[in-house]
Amino acid sequence: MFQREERRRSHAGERLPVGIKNLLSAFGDLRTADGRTRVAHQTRETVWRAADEAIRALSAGYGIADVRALLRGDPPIEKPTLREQVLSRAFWTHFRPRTYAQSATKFSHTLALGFFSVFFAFVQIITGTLMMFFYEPSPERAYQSTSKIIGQVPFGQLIFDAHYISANLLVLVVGLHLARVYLTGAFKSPRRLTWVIGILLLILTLGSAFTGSVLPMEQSAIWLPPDLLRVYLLHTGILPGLGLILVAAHYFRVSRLHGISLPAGEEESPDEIVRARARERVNYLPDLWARELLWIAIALFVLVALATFAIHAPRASPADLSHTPSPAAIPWFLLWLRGMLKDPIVLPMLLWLRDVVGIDLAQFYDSRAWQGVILPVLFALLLLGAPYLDAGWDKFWGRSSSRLGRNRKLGIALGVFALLWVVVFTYIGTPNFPASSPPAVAISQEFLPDDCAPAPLPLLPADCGEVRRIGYAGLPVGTYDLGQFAAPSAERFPNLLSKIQVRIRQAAAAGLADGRGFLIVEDWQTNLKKTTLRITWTPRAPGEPDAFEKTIYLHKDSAYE
Amino acid sequence: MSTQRRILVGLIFTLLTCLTLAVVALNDLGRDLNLAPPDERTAMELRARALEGRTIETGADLYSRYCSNCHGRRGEGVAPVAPALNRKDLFDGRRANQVRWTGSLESFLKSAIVAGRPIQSRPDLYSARMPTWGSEFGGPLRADHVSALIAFVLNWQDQAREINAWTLAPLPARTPGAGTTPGAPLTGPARVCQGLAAPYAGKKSPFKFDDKTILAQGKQIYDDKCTACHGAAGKGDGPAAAALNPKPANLTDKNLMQSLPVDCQFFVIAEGVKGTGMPPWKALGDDALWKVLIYTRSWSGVP
Repeated sequence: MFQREERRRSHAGERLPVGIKNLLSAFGDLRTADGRTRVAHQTRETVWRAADEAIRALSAGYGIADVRALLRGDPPIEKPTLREQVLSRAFWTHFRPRTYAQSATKFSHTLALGFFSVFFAFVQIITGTLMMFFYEPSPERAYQSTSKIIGQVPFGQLIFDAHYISANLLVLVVGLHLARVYLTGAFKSPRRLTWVIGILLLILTLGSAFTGSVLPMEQSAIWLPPDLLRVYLLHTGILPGLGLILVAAHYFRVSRLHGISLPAGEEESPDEIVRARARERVNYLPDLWARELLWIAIALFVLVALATFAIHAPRASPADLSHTPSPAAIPWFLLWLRGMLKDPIVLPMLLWLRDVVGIDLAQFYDSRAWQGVILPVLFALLLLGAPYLDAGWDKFWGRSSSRLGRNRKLGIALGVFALLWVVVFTYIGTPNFPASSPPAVAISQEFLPDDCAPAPLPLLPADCGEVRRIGYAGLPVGTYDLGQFAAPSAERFPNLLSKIQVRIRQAAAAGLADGRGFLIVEDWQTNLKKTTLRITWTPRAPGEPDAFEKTIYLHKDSAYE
Repeated sequence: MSTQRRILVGLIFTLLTCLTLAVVALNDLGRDLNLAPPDERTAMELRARALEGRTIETGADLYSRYCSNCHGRRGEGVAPVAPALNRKDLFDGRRANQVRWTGSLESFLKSAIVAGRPIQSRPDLYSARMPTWGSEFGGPLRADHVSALIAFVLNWQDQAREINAWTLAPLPARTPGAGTTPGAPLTGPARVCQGLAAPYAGKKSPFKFDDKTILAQGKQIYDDKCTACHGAAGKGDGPAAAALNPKPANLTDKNLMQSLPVDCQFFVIAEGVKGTGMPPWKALGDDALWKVLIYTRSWSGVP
């Protein structure tokens, strides 16, 4: 109905007031049937034109007909196609390329990990900005203002939890992205600098996640000097600012300079047809665009649903610098660092070397500077230099660079080794390895920990201990001799007592000879109970400690999971 | 999947997100929007109460570490050292009136904890002077710790008892002399031992100084009663030490311990030192004091 000729006329300058003027002049003909038809036609045309103008203003140039064609999956109507112009002329859309190589858009190839990294980073920026309205970055006010966000601000807990969840997912997705790019060989030339920028982004991500875990001024804040303001500025300004700049550079190189890497098997296929088909271009609009919108809709729903119904950010007690909890809290993505400080693998080997061979490397190796600073920096340098080392290795053997797995067995093996290494040292970094505290302390720590201990894996609830989980209402006042509760029970409280008793008995050989346990629950204040676990044993030698006591307080309302 | 279907499924998910947000809005704002019964607690209120409850737990823990030595484990006071806290006249305003406090009860407690008492209000009844606990005055407690402590103390309100010790007796006229002048320079064994007399002068330990059992028992008492000020290793650097002036003695100092005879140290532990944070401990009984004394002297090795 709306022909191209007319459309051009509407662009040539015929504006709405003119249309209305024409319409008014036609009102004189209403008496004849012909005139009525003409008025109806003109009215329809005027309204259509106005709507078309409005849609064009909103869609950066598309008319109604083209928007409809776009949604129906029809080819573009207007020529030259506005569908492509919009990707080069409008600010927000010009970030996206007009076309992609067909084989690079396969979900199974990239798993959209880069896309989701950006998605979660945006969620971080939005939720983080909202929280900045309430958070106060001073050691005295930080904890309370965080409590205020959770307990007094409408939607506050949702935002707090969404920030926490998407932070964890961001670290996870960024890690997977790194693994994907490494294993598919996508980091090789010409994308070497893209990889380097990516590693810098990984470091920024870990830095942001760590500074963020400190800001609520919970017990984990004891790792930092009491200057919260600088941590806050790093977390909210410097790290995300640098991140934005680097993301821009990273994304520019991916989308404009080299494109997403093709699947290696297709890129290096001996079959010319396969190679050509892999490089065929597909339009970004509308299919790929709709796919991304769908991903966003699904991810947003999953995030909001998780934050509302499933996962709440753990809340530990406020930091007390005079009182280091055991074990000190540390986020899961840095456990490998603490694992290195504990190190049960290399250090014993070096000690053996010193004692048997006489070469003393242990003294140097076993220092905090080496394990906590120099070694991580070396790792970072190794990661940053990986594509260049890889190219040098190929050059050394006189081989041409190949991304195929079968041509880089050593590289893949090293990658898998690094992955295992991270997993192993993360496990070593968890508090249950090695059990270094005396048995009575360890048992108390298991059932009545000083504080809720963050889980060693992302997004699992913190462990506040069985006594806190049972809570105020489930702890009847009294003194309980655990010896009388040896058998497991269906009820929660007697079963807790028997569990502790079993642990005490198991530890008999480890130092708790004739171990006896008592759990004392006292009414301490209005709605407050005091719970004490006392363990006594026969010491190996006179003068050694023969008892240990641990106390926690539980309020009626303090709902621990 | 075709583009139309993607848009459809995306719309469904967007709708689900909106529904979830509506659930959150009901949880957080149900009562404000007149969508929930007025007597039912909203999820947000439950969260706020949970956090308040945890604040009281934190306060209870802080109280047991910093305050219970002098004010009693359950706020009942330690007769010659410091007054009770779970007392009615604190909560009904009589005590605040007495010291002409015009602010809220909470601010009264805050000022007492953070700034301490520059001058003891009842030196005739209590030997210890309330030190400055707030970090802004050199103490160990941050502002949020102080609020947690206050939340814990205020939670005694319903169980507070009627105690008459300080409401009835008029304040005595202040007499100049040792013990009432705040911060008197009472350092050094020579000054501390001035008042040494019977029954303390020449007193001897009923236990041997190298008995391992006695040392272990002494450590237990020391860890319970003395670490807050003197520190776990006896260096005078316990968490409460920062708030005290004069500072708690460094019990590992060989010179100090050599110039402090055993009977004088026993006298100091039993009777306390006026004008300092050291309270009298004689209520524990002679045996307990000797055990602690033997344990503390094991650090310097001076018998």
